[in-house]
Amino acid sequence: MSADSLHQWHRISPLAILFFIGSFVRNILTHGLPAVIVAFAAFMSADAVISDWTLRGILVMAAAGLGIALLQYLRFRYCINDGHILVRSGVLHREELDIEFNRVQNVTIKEPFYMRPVGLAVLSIDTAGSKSKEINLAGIERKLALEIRTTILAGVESESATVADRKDLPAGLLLALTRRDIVIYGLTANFLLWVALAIGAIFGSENITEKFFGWLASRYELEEAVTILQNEGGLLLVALVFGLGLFLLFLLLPLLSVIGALFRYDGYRLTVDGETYRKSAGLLTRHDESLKQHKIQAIVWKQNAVACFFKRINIQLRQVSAGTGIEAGQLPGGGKSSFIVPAVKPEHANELSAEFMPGCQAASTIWSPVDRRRYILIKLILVALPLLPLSLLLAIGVNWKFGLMLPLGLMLTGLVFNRCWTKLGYGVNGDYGFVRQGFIGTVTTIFPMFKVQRIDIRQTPVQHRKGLAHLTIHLASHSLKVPYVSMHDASLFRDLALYQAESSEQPWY
Amino acid sequence: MAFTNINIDTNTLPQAAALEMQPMPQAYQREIMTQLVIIFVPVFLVSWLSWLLPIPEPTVKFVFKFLPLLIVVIAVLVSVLTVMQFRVKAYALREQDIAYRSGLVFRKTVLLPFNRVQHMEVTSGPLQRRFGLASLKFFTAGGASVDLKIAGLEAPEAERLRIFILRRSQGNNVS
Repeated sequence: MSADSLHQWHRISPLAILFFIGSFVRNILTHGLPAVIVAFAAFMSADAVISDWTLRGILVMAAAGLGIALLQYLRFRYCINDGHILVRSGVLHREELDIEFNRVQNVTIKEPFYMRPVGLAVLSIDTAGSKSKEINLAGIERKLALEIRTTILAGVESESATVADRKDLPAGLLLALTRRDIVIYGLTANFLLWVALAIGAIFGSENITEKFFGWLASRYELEEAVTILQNEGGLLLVALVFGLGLFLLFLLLPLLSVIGALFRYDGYRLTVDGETYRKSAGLLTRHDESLKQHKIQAIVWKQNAVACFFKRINIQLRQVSAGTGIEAGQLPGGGKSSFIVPAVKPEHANELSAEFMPGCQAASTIWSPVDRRRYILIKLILVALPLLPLSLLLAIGVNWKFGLMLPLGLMLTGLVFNRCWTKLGYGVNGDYGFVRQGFIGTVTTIFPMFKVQRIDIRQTPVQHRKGLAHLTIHLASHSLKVPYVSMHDASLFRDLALYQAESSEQPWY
Repeated sequence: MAFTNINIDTNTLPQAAALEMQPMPQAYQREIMTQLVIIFVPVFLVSWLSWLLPIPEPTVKFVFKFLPLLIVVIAVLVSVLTVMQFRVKAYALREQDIAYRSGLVFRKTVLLPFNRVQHMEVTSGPLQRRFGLASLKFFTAGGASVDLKIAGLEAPEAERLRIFILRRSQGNNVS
């Protein structure tokens, strides 16, 4: 397909209807999971009327979904010209999007299993900006997708100023992960959060829990079993069996997480070509994501307790995010604006970070602690404030032993806070800023000083007297808070970051 | 200590901590005091009406007698705190960035480089317009909402700042 023919409005393949259906289902599951669970519970209800009506409702929804997907396919058109991509889409909410190439954050080519046999793919374009739209050209020829991606990335490259020195560096494979590595990642990842939420949604309501167990018992004739257990071993036995059931359920969570990870990251390959990093992964749907080096705002090394055990680090490359600063960084997997390099061995982590951020010497960073006394003291006070009246109330009202709650609670939380303090640290090494925190595991953020967006320094009168301050570093991807830093260090950090941000000729985006 | 391999002599860096901050215009103080009057006067008047409520409980009725006095006390406290807070607010303009200080107990200083400003807004509510004031809002990348809001600037000054900063942010913008 010649470049000229791209300058017209094009339709996508009818196979895109499947893609739209998939998106529709995904949307329902993410935004309406409680509703789905309630619908499921209603469907399984013993009452035939409710069951019937629920079935009818589900069928209507399915038909509607199909209809909408069809309309979406009919409405969708795209056109590429002169450093812009134009997209017309939307059924009820008609949209015409105009994206400049140099506003594109990264480009991903996804190959779902139903498109691969026919040589089609989905081209996903991620943009930064307050609306953070993701455009999906679903069902275009794979070769065309690659062509468009090259065009867009070339457009992005020409806008950036002094990156010529990068061109003579070799292209090549940076990382290839085995299935074992992906399983390890699955065990460390946050998919558990979503599953736990789902479980929580089900068991959140007592009514539903009772009905569920009642249904379970009646379905599998457990009532007899429960009464027998009760007669034999009393309530304790019932609790034990119930506990065992829950335990097995909890073993299911890591399994689901590993399965999820395998679907998303199987066969992970990370390559570099000049200034572009390319990662390719996935079992059913192959995701081929590209990211330009200068779009990286920060690198986050995540090592939770499980990752510590396996001696691996999960690296996130953070990009510009439209989320609310700190919160956006805590989405499972870091949200859309995050490129993940999972299950990296510590020695590779240093190498890779130097690759992503030239001149970054993570290993030689000197970490500075924050003020220990204030950090632990203030945190303990915040714990003591609710704990004191509570323990007093219970001690007087119920049993004097509850009074012990206060010293014990403070001691315990004190130990926790002390541990957190040892993990908390910051430093500046060359042109890069480092912030670290954690409890059992560690989260380390590395960022080029010149990419700082804004710096806040906050002091209470007491902190002012003691020469301490809270430093907040705002990056385009997320914000970092370092509490109880010495005012001298906070000021110096601020001055350095501002100097770099204001004098650097490099494109920060 | 915490800073290693720095290529610049840190003593020659411009120091944000040593900035001379410019206080907000007096008209702003008048505006926020007017806001307080608009809020507290109706509340005060309504609290007198509570005397007319037919409450059987004698103790409750007695407490209600003190409501207007309580309102006055609260109003005075709030006014004092507001004036103190006003005195803290200040801003400073440098060649390449803007600083804004606010907060009575939690004193916060925000430093925003111009070449990170994505866009700005000058807004003016009805009360602000009466006093000839406006608010200047800054938006940077990665923030879903306003990054910095300086309220109570004189309207022409706000516009002047907007134009000055806009020129600087476009000049250095390499996106």
